[in-house]
Amino acid sequence: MAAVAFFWCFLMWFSSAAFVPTIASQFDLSVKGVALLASSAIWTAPIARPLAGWAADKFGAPKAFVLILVLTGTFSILSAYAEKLGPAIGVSEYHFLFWTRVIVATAGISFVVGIQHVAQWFESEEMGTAEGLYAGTGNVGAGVGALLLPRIYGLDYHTAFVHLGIVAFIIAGWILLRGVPAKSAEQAAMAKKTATFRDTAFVWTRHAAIALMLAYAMSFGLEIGMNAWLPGYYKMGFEEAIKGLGFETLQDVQIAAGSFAAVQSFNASLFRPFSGWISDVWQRKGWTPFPMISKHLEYAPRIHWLMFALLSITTTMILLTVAGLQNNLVLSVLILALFGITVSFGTGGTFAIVPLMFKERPGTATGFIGGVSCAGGIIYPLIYGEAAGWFEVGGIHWGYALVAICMFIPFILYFIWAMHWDVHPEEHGFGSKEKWLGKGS
Amino acid sequence: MSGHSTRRDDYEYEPWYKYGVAFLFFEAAIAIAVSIYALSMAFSGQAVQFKKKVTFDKPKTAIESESTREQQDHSTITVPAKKE
Repeated sequence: MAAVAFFWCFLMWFSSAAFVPTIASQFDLSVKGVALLASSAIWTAPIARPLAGWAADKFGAPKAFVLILVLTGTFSILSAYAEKLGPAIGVSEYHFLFWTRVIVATAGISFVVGIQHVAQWFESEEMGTAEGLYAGTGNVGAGVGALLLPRIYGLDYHTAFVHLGIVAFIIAGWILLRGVPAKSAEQAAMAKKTATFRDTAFVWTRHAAIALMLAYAMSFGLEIGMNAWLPGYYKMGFEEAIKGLGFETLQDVQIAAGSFAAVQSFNASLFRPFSGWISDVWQRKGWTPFPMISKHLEYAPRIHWLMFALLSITTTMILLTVAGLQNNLVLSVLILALFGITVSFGTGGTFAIVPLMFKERPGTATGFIGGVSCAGGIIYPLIYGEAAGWFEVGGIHWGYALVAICMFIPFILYFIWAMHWDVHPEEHGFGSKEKWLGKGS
Repeated sequence: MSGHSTRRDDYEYEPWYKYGVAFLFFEAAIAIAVSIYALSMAFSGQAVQFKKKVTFDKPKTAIESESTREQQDHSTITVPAKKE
């Protein structure tokens, strides 16, 4: 149920992107206008995801899903009638379309609701695979939208938006009738009890939550940042090499660059469930190879698996720079494929831990970790762009190594430190538990 | 890598688990297949454009439209620009 709802929300989240060429031409948008329209899809994520997590704990995931589906479904249908409704309320058609689509894009916040829902239903030994299947399969909604919507609806995005909204209502009705917040009433009651401002502040200030948020920024934040950055990178960084393959015109170079970039996106999404399963395997085998990180926590092997993922991501980032500096397109793309897989290790590995570590506050923790980390998707491309001007030779390639060394290595050191406690690592943070939650907590 | 007290070899998974694992391997296989296909097409200089080529023109007069229609390639769809 969670996977279906999330799949549809993801489809709606990125449905605007599938029609960007049509909308851009219809409204004669500049390059900046197109970039603004494309980036608007993730504007609300860092702020609204924590709210969605809190709502999932407070009211239960089914009600939160219904609210998101009805709200975004309504605005999806309204956006289809921008031509009439915009002037009727005194704004231009494009402004009405743009802002209604920004609201529709909040469908992406459903991720944290589903994570919370899955956490309330599955056993800890199966958590990695369950969360991985949920998130990985849901993520495919974005790819399916890009692939199928233009084929089914051609240039008629109005009809597409209406149909997407109607199906959102149908799924909302199904969840309303059949959805149950948790496997047991006690579990649901515990989550509801902790959905307070004090508990939210408590979670946001825990070292373990911050470390997991940084881990997710190193994986999912990086994934969405790379989605936006890579097509341009291959076009600018390897233009001659791509032309050497026989792609002569600008359009052909764009297609080739986009094909290379898509490899990262596909691998990062589709290997995510696999990563959750590997986390289960490490847990079953009791593998804890890294020093300093706790070996005695019930779910310690999952933390070690995530540590392995973070080291892999950092290594492949540096290798991307090395391949770029050698101007070796084949090597760069092969490393990029591997990079996509290591990113999936990080995304799947993180959410195999979160529900287990923050058992009492799954929605609040997921909202913080899954929401704030999205800021990475905005920050990394900016650093890559800036770094291009700092180096005389191969500047555009240096950004990956720079981010890996200056950001990811400190993140990993913090992660190691935050995960060294053998007892309740989720309680250590800025300010004591008593300070945030009161005495007797 | 050494075993620890967290090891749970005796845990019995619920019935859905084996189907879930089979499905995730299926997804991983799709990812590998798509990667190989995209890369082989790209490196052989034959990356395909999945969508039909779409061009957008400003509104034309009836005479211009008539002459354009005759010359138009069948793979090209023309969309009139938005009226202000």
